[in-house]
Amino acid sequence: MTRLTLNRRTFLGAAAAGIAVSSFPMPALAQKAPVKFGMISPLTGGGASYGPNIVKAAQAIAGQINGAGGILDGRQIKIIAEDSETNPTAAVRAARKLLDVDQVNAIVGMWGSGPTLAVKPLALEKGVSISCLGAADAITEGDTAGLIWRFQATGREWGVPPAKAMLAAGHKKVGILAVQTAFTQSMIGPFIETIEAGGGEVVVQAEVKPDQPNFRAEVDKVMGEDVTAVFLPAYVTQFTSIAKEWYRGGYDTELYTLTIAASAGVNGGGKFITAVGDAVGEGIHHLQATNDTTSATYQEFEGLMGVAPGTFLPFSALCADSMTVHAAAMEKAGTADATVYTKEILGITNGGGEKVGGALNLLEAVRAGKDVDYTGYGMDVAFHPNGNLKDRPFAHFVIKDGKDEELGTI
Amino acid sequence: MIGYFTAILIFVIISALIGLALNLQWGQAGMVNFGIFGFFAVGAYVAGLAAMAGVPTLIAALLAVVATVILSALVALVSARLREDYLAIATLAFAEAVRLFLLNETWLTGGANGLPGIPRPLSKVASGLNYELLFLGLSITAFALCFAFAQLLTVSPFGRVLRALREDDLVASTLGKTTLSFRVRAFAAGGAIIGVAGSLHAFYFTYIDPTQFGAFVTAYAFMAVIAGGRGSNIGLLIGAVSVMVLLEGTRFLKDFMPFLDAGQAASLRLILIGVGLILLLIYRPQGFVSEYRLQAKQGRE
Repeated sequence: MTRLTLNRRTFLGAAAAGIAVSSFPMPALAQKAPVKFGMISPLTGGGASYGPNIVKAAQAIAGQINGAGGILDGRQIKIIAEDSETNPTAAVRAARKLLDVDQVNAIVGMWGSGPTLAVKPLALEKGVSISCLGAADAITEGDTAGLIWRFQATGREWGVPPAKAMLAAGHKKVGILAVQTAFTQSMIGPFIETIEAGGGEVVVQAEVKPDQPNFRAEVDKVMGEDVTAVFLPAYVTQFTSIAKEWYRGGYDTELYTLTIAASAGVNGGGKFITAVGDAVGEGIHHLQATNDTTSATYQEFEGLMGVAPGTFLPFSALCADSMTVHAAAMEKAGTADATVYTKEILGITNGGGEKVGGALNLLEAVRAGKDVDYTGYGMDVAFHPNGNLKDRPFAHFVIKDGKDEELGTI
Repeated sequence: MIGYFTAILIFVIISALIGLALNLQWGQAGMVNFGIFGFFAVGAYVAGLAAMAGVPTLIAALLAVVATVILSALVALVSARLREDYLAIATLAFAEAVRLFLLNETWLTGGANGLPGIPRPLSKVASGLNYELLFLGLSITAFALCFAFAQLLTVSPFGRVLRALREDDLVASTLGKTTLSFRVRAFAAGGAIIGVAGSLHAFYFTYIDPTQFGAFVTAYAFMAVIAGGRGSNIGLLIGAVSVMVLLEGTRFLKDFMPFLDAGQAASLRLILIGVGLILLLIYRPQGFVSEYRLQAKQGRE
């Protein structure tokens, strides 16, 4: 009996203390609640070479906006960056934390098609927007409730420029050696269509898996056919091995790949050329959805990121754009509720108004009630109504003497 | 917050189910199954594809169980004479074959793009957080059934024979036990549980692709079984919870370390997970709970 009374007292005491504590004026509540941007980026795993810069770009934009007084009447932007481990299962756990614990208003920097497709239903259910950097077509297919915005060319669009470049160079009989990822798979169909429409023929097609230890059999199979050029959508780890096999085999077939796989310094890294050496790299063509590195806003972005002028930062410039566009749309809509503010995005990016670049300029113009057309850090951002990015330009490079030489924009 | 805990509990249940199966196959019968992620993938894809074809979700889950049972029995049958590391290699090869099949048979599995929009069980009954709780209830029910099944097998004479086979199959067969039959049945019983885990995964994620079924699934399952104590089902449950606490708890550490940038914090998290496991193996190598032993009755008066 005594014990029971004691328990009740302890309980009542604890409850009273709890109520007392919760009614204290908390310093955090004195300020306005921040607007929360969650990030699910590849900080470890296969995409780890891109993740840290993607997060850094978002933080740089948030820092700039916060320094100028925040958005929505003085609310600060808070970035909560989670690691996707470049894996859909881990991305879903990260998303659960962001959506349920942190209760973020938007998810930006969502990299990789697999993780994005896995997180998409959760965000849609919660009415939170996703700005993704993934290319798989399926991301924006179906009902997205206007919440999914792709700050990246679709896989279909990635397939066309390499085909055009090959046709322009006079290659009529070509082959494909693709790594099996959602990103690379979606470019193969449009690549073949473009080649065939241009009077060419895809003679041979082979696939490798991303973590294969050796690519000799597939390289020999494709290069052994009667082809003058081969398209190799891959990432840098696989392409490094493939290029070595190609060189060892002494094939005179020309290689066309993606800049993320074969950059000789144009994106700042040049991992590929360091790994294989100038001789292997010589004459390899690569293409990349590009940033307009000559624009003033891009140069401002380089300053924010602290990199040398002319550095090509894959993904992060467009992540900065996604931060900017979302912040401005919130400002324009007067709310951080994604189901409401995402309706303002098209008006900001595609509107016929004044061309504005840079986060602070855009916010200022939106506050002044001006009609704007956002030009962006990475490119002149404009969207299709389904959330797909419009007309991403592609740059075509060839490696000469261990350096990238730009052949033009497609 | 409740939503997050619900989700984490569902993840724990799915990984505990895989651990339960491994505990039966490896913990009890001593059959090393490194290819557990392949069976898991089969379960998920069969359930997902069947549900997408309009089969009621419960039947879809049953089909997944049937598929994993048959495949497990087949793998155990063809690898009848393999032990320890050779069996591990054979099962790993099976899982690789499954993965290649999923990647290449695009007409069926969607290839690298995977299968989006898998229907969920009872999705019309509730929505939002209520649905999450409902799904948790379903998962707990499924887990309770599987746990009872595994526990029943463990304490039955069948389980005793499995442990005898694990220790020395020659002795067991000398005593008249048909080694092959017991091994096939043990592997198939584990397969049934993996089928349940696979269908829960497919229904909960609603999107599956081959990258979700990598070797890390096997690694987490072994971690849970080793941490819990090989052979003990209760220990396994504790092990699965500990592994998830380690995986998810470390996620919150970075909130207290603002001086680390995102990349460093993510790497530190993985280091801490590794350190946690190493410490566990140093200080508690036998796991949290020791395996079930039939206690001899005290001598009668």
